[in-house]
Amino acid sequence: MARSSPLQRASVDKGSDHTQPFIQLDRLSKSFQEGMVERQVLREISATFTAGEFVVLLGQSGSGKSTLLNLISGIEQPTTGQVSINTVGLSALNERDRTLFRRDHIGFIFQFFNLIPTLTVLENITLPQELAGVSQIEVSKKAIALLKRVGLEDREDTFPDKLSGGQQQRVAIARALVHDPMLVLADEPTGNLDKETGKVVLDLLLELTRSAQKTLIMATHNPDIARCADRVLRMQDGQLVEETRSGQPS
Amino acid sequence: MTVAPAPRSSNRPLWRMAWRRFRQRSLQYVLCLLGVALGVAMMVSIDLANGSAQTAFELSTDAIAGRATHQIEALAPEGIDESIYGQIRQQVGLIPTAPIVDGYVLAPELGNQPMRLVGVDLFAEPPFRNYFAPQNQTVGLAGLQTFLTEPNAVVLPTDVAQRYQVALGDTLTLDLSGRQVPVTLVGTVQPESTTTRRALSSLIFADIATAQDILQMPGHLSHIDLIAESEADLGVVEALLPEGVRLETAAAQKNAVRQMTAAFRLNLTALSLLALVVGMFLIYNTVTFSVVQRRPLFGVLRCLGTTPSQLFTLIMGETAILGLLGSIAGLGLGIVLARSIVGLITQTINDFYFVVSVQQVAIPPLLLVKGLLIGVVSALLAALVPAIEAMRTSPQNILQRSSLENKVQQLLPWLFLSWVIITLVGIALLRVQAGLIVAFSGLFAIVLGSALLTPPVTTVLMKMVQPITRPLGVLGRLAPRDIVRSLSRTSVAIAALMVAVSVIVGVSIMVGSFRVTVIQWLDQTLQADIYVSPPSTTANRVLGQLDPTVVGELKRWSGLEDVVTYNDTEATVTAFTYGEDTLEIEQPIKLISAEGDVSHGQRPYAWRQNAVDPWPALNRGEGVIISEALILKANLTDPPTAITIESPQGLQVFPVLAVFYDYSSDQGVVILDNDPFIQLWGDQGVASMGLFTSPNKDVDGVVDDLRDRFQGRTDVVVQSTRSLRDGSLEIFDRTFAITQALRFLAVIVAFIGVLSALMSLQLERTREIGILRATGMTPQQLWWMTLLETGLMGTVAGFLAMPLGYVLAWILIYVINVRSFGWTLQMQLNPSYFWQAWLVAIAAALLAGIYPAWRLSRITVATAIREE
Amino acid sequence: MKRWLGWLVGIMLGLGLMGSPAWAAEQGTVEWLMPTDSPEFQKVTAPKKFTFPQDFGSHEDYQTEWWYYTGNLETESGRPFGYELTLFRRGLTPGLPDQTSSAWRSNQVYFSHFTLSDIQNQDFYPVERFNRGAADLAGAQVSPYRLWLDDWSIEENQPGQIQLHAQGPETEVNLQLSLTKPILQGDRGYSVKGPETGNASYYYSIVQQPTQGTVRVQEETYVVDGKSWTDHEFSTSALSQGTQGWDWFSLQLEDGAALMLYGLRLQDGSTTAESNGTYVTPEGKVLHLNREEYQIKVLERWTSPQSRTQYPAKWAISVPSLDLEMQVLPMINNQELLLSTTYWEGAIEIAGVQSQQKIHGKGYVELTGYDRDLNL
Repeated sequence: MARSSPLQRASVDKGSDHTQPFIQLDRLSKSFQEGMVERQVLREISATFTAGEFVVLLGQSGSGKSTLLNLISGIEQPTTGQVSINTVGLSALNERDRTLFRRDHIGFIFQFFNLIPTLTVLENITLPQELAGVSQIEVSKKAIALLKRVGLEDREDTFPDKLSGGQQQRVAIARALVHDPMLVLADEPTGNLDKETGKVVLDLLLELTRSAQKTLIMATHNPDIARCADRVLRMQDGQLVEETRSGQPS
Repeated sequence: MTVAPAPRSSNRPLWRMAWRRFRQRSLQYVLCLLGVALGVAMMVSIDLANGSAQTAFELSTDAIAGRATHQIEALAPEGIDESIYGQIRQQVGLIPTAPIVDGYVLAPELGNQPMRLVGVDLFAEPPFRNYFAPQNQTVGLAGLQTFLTEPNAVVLPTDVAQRYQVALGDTLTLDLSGRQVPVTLVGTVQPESTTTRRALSSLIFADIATAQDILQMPGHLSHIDLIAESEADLGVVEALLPEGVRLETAAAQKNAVRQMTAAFRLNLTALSLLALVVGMFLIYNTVTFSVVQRRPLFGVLRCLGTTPSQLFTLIMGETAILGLLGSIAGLGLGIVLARSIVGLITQTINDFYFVVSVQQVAIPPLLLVKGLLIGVVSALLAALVPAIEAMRTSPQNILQRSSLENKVQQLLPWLFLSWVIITLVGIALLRVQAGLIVAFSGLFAIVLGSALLTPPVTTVLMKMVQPITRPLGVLGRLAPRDIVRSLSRTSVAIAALMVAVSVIVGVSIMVGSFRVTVIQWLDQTLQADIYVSPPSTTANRVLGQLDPTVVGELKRWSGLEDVVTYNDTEATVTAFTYGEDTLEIEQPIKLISAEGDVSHGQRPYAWRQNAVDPWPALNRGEGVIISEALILKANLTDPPTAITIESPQGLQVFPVLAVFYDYSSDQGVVILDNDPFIQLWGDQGVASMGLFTSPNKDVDGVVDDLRDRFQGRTDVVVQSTRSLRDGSLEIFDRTFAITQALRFLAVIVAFIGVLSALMSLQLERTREIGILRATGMTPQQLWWMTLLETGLMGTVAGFLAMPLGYVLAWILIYVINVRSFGWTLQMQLNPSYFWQAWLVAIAAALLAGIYPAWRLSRITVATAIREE
Repeated sequence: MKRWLGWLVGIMLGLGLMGSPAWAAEQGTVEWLMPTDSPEFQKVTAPKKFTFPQDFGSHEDYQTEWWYYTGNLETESGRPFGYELTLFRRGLTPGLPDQTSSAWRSNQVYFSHFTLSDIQNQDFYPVERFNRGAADLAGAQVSPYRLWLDDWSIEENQPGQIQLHAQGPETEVNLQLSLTKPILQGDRGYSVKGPETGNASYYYSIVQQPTQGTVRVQEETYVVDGKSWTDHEFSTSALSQGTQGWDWFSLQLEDGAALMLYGLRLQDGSTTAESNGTYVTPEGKVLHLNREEYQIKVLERWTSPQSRTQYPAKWAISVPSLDLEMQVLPMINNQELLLSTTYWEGAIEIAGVQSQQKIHGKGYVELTGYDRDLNL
């Protein structure tokens, strides 16, 4: 590339080989200052994720799962260590460029759906693209298609507070995928849903990510979900432990 | 039988929680405190400054009156014939009496302030005043020698002498309308008490003979003080008084002065209260927010056994503390502010009412208590609604914020209805022909009523604005919706800003209209080419008279087509006659004795008998021309057929020939031909002259000739029409300087209101902002969104402020001004008043948005998302 | 000599303007510019020729001047009263004041004391007034003879007849005096007060003036008659060093004789050499008495409850050359004037023996310098 703005350097080749390391965590540590005490949440975590992989992060609440996801997305900065996504080192980017990187390449799904109450369902889905300056007409088409995929095509002008939890999370999934990110981060996406609804939502999420060969990293404490994963990592004492399970191809 | 113990409850845990919250959200509370403080400060400063001017005048009046119970005064401008004093002494020597000769002088060496030269007779003083009580008798006698026998010997208060570094034996100059009199300081006097000392600080004492010489009052006294122990004493004295000399109680003069400035002071106070009203919006906003935010907490507390009344107490207690702290800060600020505005107020009082010199801001404790009380009470009033809300928190159902907003949405029609009702009440109040306070209540009702209209109008406007902001993308959609969604919060900020900006619009229109009216009036009235007068001790009023030789010379000056002369005195109108009916009143007036019309018939009249030029009839002595203020201040609408004026020769009835506009005084003015004036009032002097040059003469040339002729004479001022007009406008602008200052203070309070409202909004929305940021909103986009929101709020406030400002201007011009000062103004609308105010609203809102936007752009996304 | 010396008038003036103690509630500090050149008044150094009525009026070339009227009166039923009306003049500068347009300009200050002694009720009523000698407020004129301060006046309303009027808050006198021939005191009216040159005054008295009229005490008015004594004295002088005060006696005997005596007291209680007296026989013959020719002995003393000052209250006087022995007794002990200055001046009665004949009489005594040393 002729020019080398951080943003361009941060761009990701979407056609990269799936077997290549896509995300690299290099001795990541994160600690929080709580009053006089420093609480270490993550200790020197190193891990690699390949493109198209579905990885489940298991762990008790407070074990640092969410923090790890925040570090990967650039929402939080590690105390020490490096996160690089497709060779782009996030720490080297400033706040604005990290936001732009996230906006272009990462989709986020939260436990509490976190839809914007003043925006309609459709507007919530188009939000990331619109923030990126894509024209509304262009992004609407994609969004409506996604809405259809999540089964809410008739609710596009509804405001989020009129939807059930499951429906809200389906909108959130659509929002996370609308800009076609290579990486989807989901933090307990079913944690706030009943078992039945949770299953429906999970299936939908897996279907949408796996079919598009997106990397999906999901934090959960539900071991059932782990069964569908390519890999399962367990957070313990701020460290990652790989769980080996039988009957799964690695 | 045992009595069941009353259920015990303690609020201590609640207070502890409140204190934690104070600490966490200190900025929020500091802003609220600042709002209260500014509101209270403005009110207190105006009160203090007004009070200081009044107190200074009363103190010096008291200092001069001493223990006098009554005063003997003359209706004639020249004062009382001094032989009356001799007669009283020789007839009723037992009744303590003291002669006083006083007048205003400027002392360049004493800060060029107007000072009151008081001529006393030390031999008559002891029963009245004892400032001259010497400690060392032999010294006293020798000092007396210079004081009594040396011409132009004066005594100054020690403080004044020290402040201006004049020592005994120094020569000072006293300026009496341009006439310079050198005087020698032969004594200093320092009363023990600071009150008396302050009272004396604008006085110069002299022997009565010296005062008569300096003030050129030979043979006359200003008044005679009297201590009457019984009605019998008064009867005896009264029997000795000739026609045109009357006995007044010592308090009468103070009352007259108090009444004279009452309207002026009330206007300023009302304006200062507006800031407090804006401050109340702020308190309401902060307290509501604190209640809404703590709703879950209150729900839990209710579950844990907190009673509703404890919650009510908590909210009101918090507010009381806030109000108290804010008010205390406001008092301090008010005192500081008062020091800077007291000069402005004093100037206006000197220009229009009476001469007073305020050396110090008097701080009466009662006034501070009043400020404190009003501050706390208005804070509590503002917190009443949210406190009741808090009380109603049910333990089970933790009301969500969204349901509050729903409630607001449901309230909208009711708010609209309330607005209609309150506005109607306001209109009714304004229509009642009652005092100024009622009129101001009407004005406040209309302003406050319009605040109720803010939520419905904002909702409608935000719907209307969406098609316009839509092209701005998602931000353009988010911003107006956020405003409506948080209507309970945003509308209060908008209302506060709207009220403040409408005050700007209203006052600007009023002052602007006033100015244009005055300019037109000056242009029509001042038709003479050249004006000659002595320089004035105060700017607006000519207190001295022209040297008669100058008058004679000017009347014979070649190249002049016409010469008109003016003189004036204070008098009292005692009755209005309407045909057969007589209405007894007591209205002090300025009586002008005119020889010729300075407007040469160009003057506009509000009413003329038979619609003809009244001057020929006036010249024939057939009646008087009266100012509209005289009628309007008496709460009348129609001109009387005749008025009765108290003259030194007894009551005189004059038919009314015309009613003219006059903006130079709010006391009422009566013009009388100079012949009957000289005959009745015995004053042949001329205070000012208007010269009309011959058509073929160059005005500037004549002015130069006159100036050459009177070169070196400090007691003659020759002015062209232009400079007189400019001088008058300068006074006008100075008069309204304080008004300008006040309205900007109101905007500052409103600005704090918007800032505080935005801060609370943003705090509430932290999590939402976190999601937006996580979803990919850049800090810059966040900036834009915040500023767009505040800009929209400012726009709405500005939009609403325009019609409200117009209404305010209308009320100020057609109700308040007419009732306060008796002035009819022509309303002049200038588009700039409106768009400038709109800009101010938007600018204030945008400025207020900067800090919250900056804070938001720096939030930690991860923390924000985690918050629930 | 008689009565006060000039500078004492000055003291009274200063104190008088200070306000009576009742006004002392709020005092202040007053600083005055001192006059740089002290005024040059004429001094009394030699006898002068007295001319009447011109010399009844004021002499403004001299700094100090006073006119004293005292008298002992009684009603038809014998109820006794005493009165005193004095006008003091003090010149601030000699000659005419600077001419200005104001009629108030004056260099003459007048003040006046008026007392009435109600002997029966043992009540004493002193009052004081001040004013300037201008604007018709106070003055002394020759023709017709008139002294006045406010509404207090002494004027010749018909030839040889003097009308005297004064009024206080509780008292009033309206009296008609018949003039008698003036008696020149000292050496032809030249009365020496001390050894220094110019320490002297011009002094004449008018004694045994028949007086009638009314006195009012509170609401009650009494028709009275009796005898009055006038002193008129003017000078520019001061007390000699060491003099503490003086005792002065004006005694009018029933046989028509009159005796004036005074003693200038020194610190040791003795009197100065200049102290002297005058005896006027019933026939009007004037005999001068020098210091050695009479003796005054204090028999009793009285202490004022108000000022705590101790005054003599009974005297034995003897004039051997006249074969005169008498006792003088205050008709009221408390005739103390607590005005701008404190002194005692009151009605007295006389009982004694002259040439084996019992004599009676009344008069006035003035006692100064008992409350403080006048020679400050």
